Amino acid sequence: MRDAELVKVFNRRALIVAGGELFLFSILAGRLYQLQILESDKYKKLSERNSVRIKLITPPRGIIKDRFNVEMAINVNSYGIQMIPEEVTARGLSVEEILNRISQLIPLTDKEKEKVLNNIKKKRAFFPVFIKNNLGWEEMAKLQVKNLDFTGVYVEEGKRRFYPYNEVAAHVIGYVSDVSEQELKKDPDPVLQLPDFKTGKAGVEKLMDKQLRGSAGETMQIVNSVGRVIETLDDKRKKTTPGQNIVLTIDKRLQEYALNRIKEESASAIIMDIYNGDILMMISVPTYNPNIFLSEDKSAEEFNKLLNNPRHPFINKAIEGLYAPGSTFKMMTALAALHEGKIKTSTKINCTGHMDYGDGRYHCWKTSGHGLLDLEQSLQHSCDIFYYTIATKLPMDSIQEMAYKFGFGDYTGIELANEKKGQVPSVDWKRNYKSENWYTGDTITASIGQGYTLVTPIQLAVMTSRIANGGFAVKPRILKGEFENVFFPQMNIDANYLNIIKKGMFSVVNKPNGTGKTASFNYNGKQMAGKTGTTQVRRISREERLTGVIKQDDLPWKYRNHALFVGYAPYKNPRYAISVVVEHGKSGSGTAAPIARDLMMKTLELYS
Amino acid sequence: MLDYSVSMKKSSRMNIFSKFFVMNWKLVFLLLLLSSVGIMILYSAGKADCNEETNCLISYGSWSPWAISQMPKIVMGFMILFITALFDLKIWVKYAYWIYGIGVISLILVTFFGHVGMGAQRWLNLGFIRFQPSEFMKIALVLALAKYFAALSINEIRNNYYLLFPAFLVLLPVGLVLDQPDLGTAMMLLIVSGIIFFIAGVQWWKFAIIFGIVLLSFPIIWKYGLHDYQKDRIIIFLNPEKDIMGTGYHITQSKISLGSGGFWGKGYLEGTQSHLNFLPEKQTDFIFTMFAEEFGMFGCLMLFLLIMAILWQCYKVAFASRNNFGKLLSLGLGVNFFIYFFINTAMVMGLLPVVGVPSPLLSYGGTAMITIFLGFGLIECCYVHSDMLISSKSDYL
Repeated sequence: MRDAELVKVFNRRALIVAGGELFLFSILAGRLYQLQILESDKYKKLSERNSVRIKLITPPRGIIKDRFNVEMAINVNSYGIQMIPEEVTARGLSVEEILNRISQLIPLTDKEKEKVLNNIKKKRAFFPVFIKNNLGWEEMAKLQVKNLDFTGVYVEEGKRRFYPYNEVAAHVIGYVSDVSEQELKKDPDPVLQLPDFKTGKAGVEKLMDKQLRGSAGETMQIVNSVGRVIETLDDKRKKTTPGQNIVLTIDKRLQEYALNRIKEESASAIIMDIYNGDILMMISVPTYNPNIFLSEDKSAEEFNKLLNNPRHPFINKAIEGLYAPGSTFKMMTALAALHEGKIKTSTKINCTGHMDYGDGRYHCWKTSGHGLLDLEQSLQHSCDIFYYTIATKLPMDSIQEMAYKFGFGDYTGIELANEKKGQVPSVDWKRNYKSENWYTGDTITASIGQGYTLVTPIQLAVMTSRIANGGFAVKPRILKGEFENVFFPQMNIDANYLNIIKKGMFSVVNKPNGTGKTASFNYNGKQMAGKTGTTQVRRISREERLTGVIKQDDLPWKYRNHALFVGYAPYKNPRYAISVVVEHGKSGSGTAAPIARDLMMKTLELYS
Repeated sequence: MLDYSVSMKKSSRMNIFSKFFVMNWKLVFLLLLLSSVGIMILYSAGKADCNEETNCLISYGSWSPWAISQMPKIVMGFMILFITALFDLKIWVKYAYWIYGIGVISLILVTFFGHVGMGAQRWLNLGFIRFQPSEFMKIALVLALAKYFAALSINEIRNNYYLLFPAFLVLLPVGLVLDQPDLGTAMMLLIVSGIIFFIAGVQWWKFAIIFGIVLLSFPIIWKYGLHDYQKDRIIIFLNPEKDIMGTGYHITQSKISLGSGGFWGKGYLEGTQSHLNFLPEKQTDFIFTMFAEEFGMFGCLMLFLLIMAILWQCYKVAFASRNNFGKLLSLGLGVNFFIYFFINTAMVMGLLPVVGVPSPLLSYGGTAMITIFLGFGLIECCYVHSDMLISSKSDYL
């Protein structure tokens, strides 16, 4: 059934639709007229100037300074050579020829040349291509002199990290190196994408990386329609924020002195202000030169040598080294016993050279014995029997409690990466970690800082500071804070107890037969108090004890005793604490104490 | 009544070979011309040996990657066109609802198994081809509506009761497409169906009422019906300069390309905007822009004429067709093609929000092209069978 009316409607409406389509076409045409005729000039200009490319500007990394604003980590100019192939060829020269000429002044390997040629092929002729990066000023100067021969070759100036004092504070300052894949994944900061960017990998450089880094600015480059950079508008889009400068508490002069004094050893030393916690000096040897991470070829050989060195140059022994504290721990045992009322300041104990307890016989380091000793004398002679005797009466947990108060068994909070906690055992600790019961024999061993106890040199310095400052819970700091003086809470330890310990420590160094007399000095009436420590790395067997203990000098290096010394000075009006740990240094009095004497004297000399 | 038997082509007695020869070859030629223009632009957009790594900024035109893989799709498209055209028109009438049903089912499937692109589920992976049901639906819906209205008398069409079923036919796929969410396709489906309702003879005032309701409910749709990225596109469409480096970048760059083309254009392969990569998606949605930059306003007007010529052929088929189904189908599909072109072109000119509608037969891509060829195949079928009388209502059942 063909509905005539329907066809009529259809035809009429189809024409209306067609009219509508024509109308819409005319709108499109009108818009074309507007854009392509009326506004064409505007868009042509925009197209020519098109478009904006965004380029990141590397923020200058913060400077790291010592306490007297001596710059320890700085940014120096580094130079790179670029070539613009178009300009070379415009002079009728070949790119290869220019490369050969340059290599007469600055050695270029065949590989480097090949890379340059490849890059030139990839890019358009007006894009600059890097020939070599990270050149020193001298090499640059050579090129500058002969500049006339090198059309189309340009020098680009950049910045790179430099540590002017090389290894002097390597472990504190740390170093920077290339951004790792992991960092790229974890850290969204766009600045990491820059090809030459470096991030802190150790020490303050690592810990304070975010602050030192600053934030990247953005520059807009106007690129014309063939991709040539016409104009660079610096910081137009986003300002560059330079990295923060950081002032450290260390003193470059002390660092230098200490490095020279102990560089032959495998050791660490710390000098700390007992009141505000400033670390004036922190050294760990052997050390490394942080600049090796920044040279072009990374001096792989030197790096590998350091990496394979059995004395671990990359470890900061001052905070990462764990040692048995040995006799330096006797102060803790004594304080715990006093605190618990197990002894009085006047208590005397007879040392016969050995003590029998249970099935065991415990020896004093002096096999002939010290005779009758009081607390002060027990420290002076570092008598072991005195402490063994105390230990039989004293619960281990109260020793642990005292040790914790003085900062052992936990991070000191110093602003450096990789600090170790160490450990001070207790009854529960042994049950949990060794699944064994705690015996009084364990307490006896622990009372002289042997056995399970492990401490770091920084903890030793903190303990000494807290004794010397009269029981304030000072914490160490490596970043110089806003305030010179910082308040630390009092630990509430009886002043009489601390005084008798201090007296003992004075006798150690300054009495003629004190174990630490090798540390004694008198600098303008200023003297040091301290305590030696010698800790076994190997057990002395019963047979050995019977046949006579092998002389330390006859042992291979790695079996020799560790040598420790802690101290503070001046004895009257104390100000500085020191801790020295010499790995396998044979004995505290023989090796560590003289080092402490020299370092402390130097400190007093510089700060009086 | 006119006597149509004089010029009857006797399609019912023709075999498929003779059908092939009586096809509208003008239309085939025009489509070939338009596809060739597409290939030409895709060649210009191509980048030889360039990838992210080598980071070369400038392309000089290349067969790869787009032009070369577009050609077999065009060949396939023409084959589909011929095959579609050679079926008996009554077959299409008979299966129109079935085809519509397939479209709806695949739209439902895509909601569950679809691949997500640009925040919307649009593709169904059939293994050998990535199939976009929403594209297919544009043809299937026209087919179903043409079948329905062709069977109605003028009185029935003017009766609201008879509009319920076709309204359901439209709203079902529109709802499914909105759910993907694909605003561009939903808009196209609504406009095309509206026009079919219109040419079928539904009264003017009914459109006015619907239009009024839509306008009034717009604030509600804005608040609850749109995804954030769709709102962004609309806001940016109204205010492109607000965000030059962000979402408005497309439109700003597109306008620069168009405007800098001027009247004569920058010349083939000389379009700096596109070759310097400032123009995004130049091979798909923004291909018209690339054409406009290189061939200028003159080229664009020529292209408009080509599109109009194609539309003119569709109208001719509609007017010549002796059955209502053919009239409605060929006109509906012609309008469909026009809307494709209009929305895409208006969009890249900054007259409409960027809703992701490709330029028909110019843009790189598979499904849209295949469905457009399928549409023209149906128009050719109407042409070949324009003498056919499908008079009784039972023919449409």
